[in-house]
Order: sequence, then C-alpha cells, then structure tokens
Amino acid sequence: MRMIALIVILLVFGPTEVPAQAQAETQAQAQDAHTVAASIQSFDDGTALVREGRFREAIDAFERSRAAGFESEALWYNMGVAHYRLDHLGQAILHFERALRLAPDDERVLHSLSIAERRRVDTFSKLPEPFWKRGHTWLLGIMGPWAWFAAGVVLLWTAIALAVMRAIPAGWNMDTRQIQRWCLMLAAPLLVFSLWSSVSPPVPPAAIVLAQTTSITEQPDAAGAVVEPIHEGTRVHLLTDAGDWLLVRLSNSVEGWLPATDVGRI
Amino acid sequence: MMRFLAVLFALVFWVGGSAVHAQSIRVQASVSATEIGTEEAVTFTVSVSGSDGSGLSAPPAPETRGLSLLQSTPGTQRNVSIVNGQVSQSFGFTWSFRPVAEGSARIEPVTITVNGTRYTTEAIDINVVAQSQRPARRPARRDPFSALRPPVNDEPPPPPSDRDIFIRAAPRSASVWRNEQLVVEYKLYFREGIQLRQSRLTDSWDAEGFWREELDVETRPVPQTVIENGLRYNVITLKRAAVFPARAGDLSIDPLRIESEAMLPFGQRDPFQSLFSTRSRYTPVDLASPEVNVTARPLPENAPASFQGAVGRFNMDLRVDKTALEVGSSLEIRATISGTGNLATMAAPTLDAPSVFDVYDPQTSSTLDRSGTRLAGSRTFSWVLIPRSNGTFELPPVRFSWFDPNAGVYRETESDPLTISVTGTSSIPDAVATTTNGLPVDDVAPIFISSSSWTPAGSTPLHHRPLTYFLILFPLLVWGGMTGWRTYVDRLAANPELVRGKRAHPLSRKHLKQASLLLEGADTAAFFEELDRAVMGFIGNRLNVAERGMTRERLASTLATSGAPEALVNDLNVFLDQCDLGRYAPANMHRTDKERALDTASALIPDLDEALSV
Repeated sequence: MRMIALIVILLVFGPTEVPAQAQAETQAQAQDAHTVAASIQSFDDGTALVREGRFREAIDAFERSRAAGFESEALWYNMGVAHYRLDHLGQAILHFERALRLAPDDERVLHSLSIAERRRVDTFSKLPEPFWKRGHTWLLGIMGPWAWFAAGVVLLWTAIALAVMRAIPAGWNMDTRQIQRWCLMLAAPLLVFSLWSSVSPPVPPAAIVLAQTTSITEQPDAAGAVVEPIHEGTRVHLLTDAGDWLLVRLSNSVEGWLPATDVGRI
Repeated sequence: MMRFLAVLFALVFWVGGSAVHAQSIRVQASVSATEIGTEEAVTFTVSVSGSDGSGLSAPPAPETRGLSLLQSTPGTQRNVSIVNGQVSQSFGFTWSFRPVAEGSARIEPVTITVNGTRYTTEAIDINVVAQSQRPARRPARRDPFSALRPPVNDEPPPPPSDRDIFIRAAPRSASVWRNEQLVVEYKLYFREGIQLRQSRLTDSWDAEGFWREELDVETRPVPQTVIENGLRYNVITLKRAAVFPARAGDLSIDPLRIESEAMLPFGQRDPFQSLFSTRSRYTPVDLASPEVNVTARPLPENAPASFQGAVGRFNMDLRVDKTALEVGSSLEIRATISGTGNLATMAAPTLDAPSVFDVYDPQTSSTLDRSGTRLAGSRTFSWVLIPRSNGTFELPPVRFSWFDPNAGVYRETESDPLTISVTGTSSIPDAVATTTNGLPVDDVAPIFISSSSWTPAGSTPLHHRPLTYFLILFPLLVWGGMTGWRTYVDRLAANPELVRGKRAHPLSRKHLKQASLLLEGADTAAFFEELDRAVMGFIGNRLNVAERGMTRERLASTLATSGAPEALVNDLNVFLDQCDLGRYAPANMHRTDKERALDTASALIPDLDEALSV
C-alpha cells in the first residue's frame, strides 16, 4: 500500500517537475540547433571552397564543422575528397571510411573509396571469417546493438510488469505466468547479444595508417623488432589501446604494435 | 681503354733516351746490371739531374768490394732534353769494373758536391756468377758486312728478363672502407735502352666487386727515370683507375696484361748491324702486373638516418629557382653535391616536401674530373615540384650525410629551410569517362552539395552507458522487492503470533509518546491510562495473550511461565498499582509522580522484552 501511495504521490507531484525538465530540454535542443546550424554553415563554406579548388581552406572549414560535435556522411565524404585532391591518401581513405560508417551502402562513397585504395601501397591477403562471425555480422546488419537492446528491455519490462501486477493484492487475477516466462526467455538472449555486440563487435574498431611509412613492431617500443612495414592508407583493426601505442591486426591476421600517432581511427 | 691504347701507341714510337725533366737537383747511382758473369764488366753511373753543370766536379771513383776498377778517370755524359718547351739537362759519370771472383760484390756509396751541397748515393750490391751461367756473348770482332750475309742460325735474340721490363700495380692502400675510393696505378718499368712496339692489351681488366672509374693518364707520356735496386729504369703510367668496393670483405683486382715486342740494347752496339740487319731484333714479351688484393671494411653502424652510402669528402649546395608561384606551375630544386668519393653511385638525398606538392623523381647529372690522381667532381639532383593548392609552405631542410674515411666518422650537412608561397586556385579535373552509375572511372565521385542528416558525433558504446544497466537492473530490483514483500506479507498472514510480536514495540512506543504529550496536561487519569496501555499492551502482544481483564495473579503466573524474574514481576505490580492510583485518584498525583511513572514504564518495556526473549 505504501508503494501505491508513493506512486500516487509521484503522479500528483510529478507534473510540477515537468516544466523544469522541459525547459532544460528545450534549452539543450536550442543549443543543439545552434551548433547544428554552425556545423551546416561551415560545411557549406567548405563545400564551396572545394568547388573553387581551395582544398586546404576547405579542410579547415570542414574541421570547424566537425568541431561543433555533429557529423554527417556528406561532411566526411567531402573532407575525403579535399584530402584526396591534396594527395593526402591516408586522410582521404580515413574520411571515406567514416562516411561509409554512416552510410554503408552509398555508391558514391564506395566508388571513391575504391579509387583511393587503388593508390595504396600495401596489399595484404584477407583471411576468411568464421561462420559465427558472419552470422553475428548478419544479425547486426538487420538491427544495430541498440535496437536489439531496446527489444530485450521491452520484453524484460513487460515480464516484470506482469509479475508486479500479480503481486499486488488488488491486481489482476489473470494467470500471466506463461506470458511472463516467454518474455523473460526472449529478453535474456536479446540483452546478452546486444551487450556482447557492443563489447566485442564482429568487426573490431578499425583505423587507417596516416604516416607515409611506419612499422608494426613486436613490442610497444620504437626499438622493437619489426613485424611488418606498412604504408599510408592501410587499414588496421584495433585490438588494444595502450595510450601511445595500439595493438593492431592486419587483414592477414598479422598482429603487432603501432604508434597511436601514425593512425586515424575510423 | 682508348686512353690505355693511346699510352701504348706513344710507347711504340718512343725512342729510348735518358732525357729527364728535373725541377730540382737529384743524384742517383745505377749499374748496367746487378748480375754479371766473371768475364763481364759492369758499368757504374752516377747521374746528376737538375743542375746546370756549374760547380759540378767529377767525384772520386767509388770504393768497391769484389770488383776492380778498369779506368780511374770516369767517362762523362751530358744529356739535354726539351720537353714542352722546357730545357733540362743531366750529367753522368761512368766507371767500369770487372769482377774479381764469383760471389757477391758491392759498390760503396759515392759522395758528390753540387753547388756546394754534398749528395751521397746508395750502395749497390752485385751478384757475380760463373760465366757459363750467363747468355752467350756475341763475337767481339765487328764485321760491317755481317748483317748483309744470311744469318748463320735463326736463334732468336734473348728475351728480356722480369727485371728488365715489368708492370707494377700500386694501390694507395690495401685496406679501405666499403665504397671508399681506392686509386690503383699501373706503371710500366723498363730498362734504359729497351724499345717497345706492337703493344696491346691482351685481356680485359676486371675488378669484380668494385665500381670502377677510369682516370686520365698522359697519352704521350714522358718516361720518368727511377733507380730500382741499383738499376736505372724508365717508367710510364699505363693506367690509373679509381675503384670503390661495393661490398665488404676480401676482394681482388685482376692483373693488367699486355703483349708487346721489345728490343734489348745489350750486344747491339754495332751501328752497321743496326742499319743493315734484315732480321727482326724485337722479341715478343708478355707482361702482367701482380693481382691486387684489397680488404674492404664494413662501414660503422651508427649511420645517420639520411645516410645513403656516400663515402668520401663532400659538401652540398641547394638552390631553388623560385619561391613564389601559381598553383599548377612548377619550381625546381637543385641539390649539388661536390667533392671526392663515390659520386657516380651516389643516391639522391631525401626531399621531404609537403604532400601538397607533386614531386617528380629527381633528374641526375654528374660532372667527374678524371684528370687528377683521385676522382672528384659533382653530382646534381633536380626535383620538379608542382603545388596543387595555394598557401605558404615550408620545405624542411634537405639532409645529406656521408662517411669520411679519413676521420672514420659520419658527417652530415643540411640546407636551410625553404619557404614557398603559392597563390591562385586549382580546378577539379573533369572526368573523361564514367561508369554505368555516372561515376568517373578513374577519379573520385563528386562531392555532396548539401547534407540533411546530422547526428551527434562520437556516440558512446552501449556497454559504456549507465542507462543500459539501469534499464536492466531496475525492473529486476522491482521484481525482487515485490517478491520479497509478497513473501513477508504471506508469512505475517499465516502467523498471528508473529504479527503481534512485530507490533509490540511500535504500539508501546505509540502509547508512551501519547503519555509524554499528556505529561504537561491536567488529565492525569488519561496519562496513566496511556502508560498502562503501553506496558500491558506490550506484554499482551509480546506473549500473544489478551491483556484486557487479566488479573494480577494470572499476569504474574503468565510472566513467571514465560521466564520473567520475580523482581521484575514485583516491579511491574508496583507500577500497575501506581497506574491504578493515578487513574482513580488523580488528585494525589503530582508532576514528579507522573515523570517517575513515565520513566518506570520506559524502563519496564525493554526489561520485559529482554526477559521474555530468553
């Protein structure tokens, strides 16, 4: 009964808090709108500069747009084109990859990325992925981790709500235990899957080599034995972040350490 | 090769002579032969070159051992030569000696005074052998018509010995660093009077493991006269080459081999025979220098990053043709490295231009000076740079390093940084062909003109958000709480004794609190009524008995049964008597009585609780 009373109190006094929250949200939205407008303005400036062939100034404008805290496929793509025109191969591939992250099926981005990758020095073989990793990737292609998580949360809350309703003496007299059981059985794997996908995605975070030439070493030390010399534009998977050094893996599964300053994260 | 052949050509037409171009006074002693038969004579000559003859007097005959002087007065010669317009002359003093017996003989040093300065020659050792071991001598009688008669036999003239003519290879050092310049000179030594013709290189000269560069030698050399082991030789340089070991280790340079025909002057002193002889007096000779062995040491390991294999002594000059230009136009950077060393194989220094520049591979040109005794010159690297965007750019210094073989250390030089100002704009190239999707075949696709989808950058992963765990844990906590509460309620419903026990303390506290409120009031009966309810209600709830209507005897027996001590039961009875007195005769109760009763009740309840819990 106390809990019911508490719920009633919250329902009664809750609305008095809503205007304050709404006001804060409104201010945040207004701030966001302002920064988005600034981002768009800088994006438009950069796009105009690219069309004039002033690529360095265009990159500066795009960087201002990015600094506002918002991103878009077009922003990353146009930055990639500007870098490509300046022969910044690593930066061009990095920004095309970032655009592809937001729009995985965009033909324009895919085409430009393939053009830039033709100029890459390194060509490594690619090992086939195990079946479970392909399945993992396929499931995440249907819905992202957030969507799977949302589905799991809805089912979990439904099951709990049914349990609470049955626990209240004046609640439902319906026997909802079967529904509750099914909701829990579905919610548990969905929540585990979504969290697992977030912690260990099937495609680990990747980065692009920006240095013209660098070397993967056995230890996180410049004097370490060289495992593989690599060049600008090569894509590496990030396994461990140790501050100044990153443990990376090439597509041919060669692993080693790279200076963090030599790569850009996608 | 042409240079070498030119030397040999000059050698063919050179007529043996003793002209010596001397710039300073030089006194040398020589003999006609260092090995003679017991019946032969040896001529000892002291030559003075570089003197005009003034203040020069004949020295005394040298002291000898195992030789006897044939004449006490020396023969004198004066040779005058004009080379390149310069006149030089030399003087000679000659004595003849005959051996006394087989064995070793010696001519002691001679001291001669020239312009007041005393010069002393070296001693010369002579080996005297039996006459039978020497080549047969020609007839002593001279027949002026012997040359016109057919030869008595076809015995060829004796070939020159290895001491009469030979090639000497003279490397400057037998141990060098890898890529260090090593100059090897091949000199032909031949005795005075020997004439050569038909000379040619018989084999290709090779130096495996070396990069080699030919150096210039005189095409018409003037022989230098030198004394070697007491014998007078004419020397000309056949070949001079700079070689650079391409790898470390023990390396060898092939011998230099030539074929020639030589005419020895010995025994050919008859002028009539020289004029009318129909038989060739030249003898074929094959000459070869010794093989040159060189040890190439590896370079030290502490090479700077800019080191690309240059060994020698160098300096660098960097120039740029312009520092301000338009986008798309070109500028040239020219680095000239000059000095001595392996210029021909030198790699271009690294030009680390900003990536906004298209940098084309450098054009390379070399200017080598082969005229000296070492290979010197310069090597020029020219880069063409085309900027693709406007702006002001700084080209970092160009660094060039080399290994100094004399000091055994690496040295590095760097240019000053260059600041390039680029103006104008560039246009995006038009694609010449497109794919079926309308995208350029060999170029990136056009840019996006606008963007409609903006999202916050850098989204936090699911497992890093607290909301994730709240959404999972909160309903589980609610569920757990509800389950626990439900269990608790069910337990209470099934056990009234437990319910009363749980309620004992709250109810007694409630009545005591109410009595405290009545303490200040005038309703004394109500005050004691509340105290009585607090204590009796506690006992009833604690023991799950109906406290209403319970007699003192029954209360005492119940408490005794429950384990309460007798003293506590007596105190309880006293307290209950006082409550009865207060309820029914309130006028006799003062404030101090009420306070005392309240304290008693407050103490009794915990005492009873403790006693009934045992």
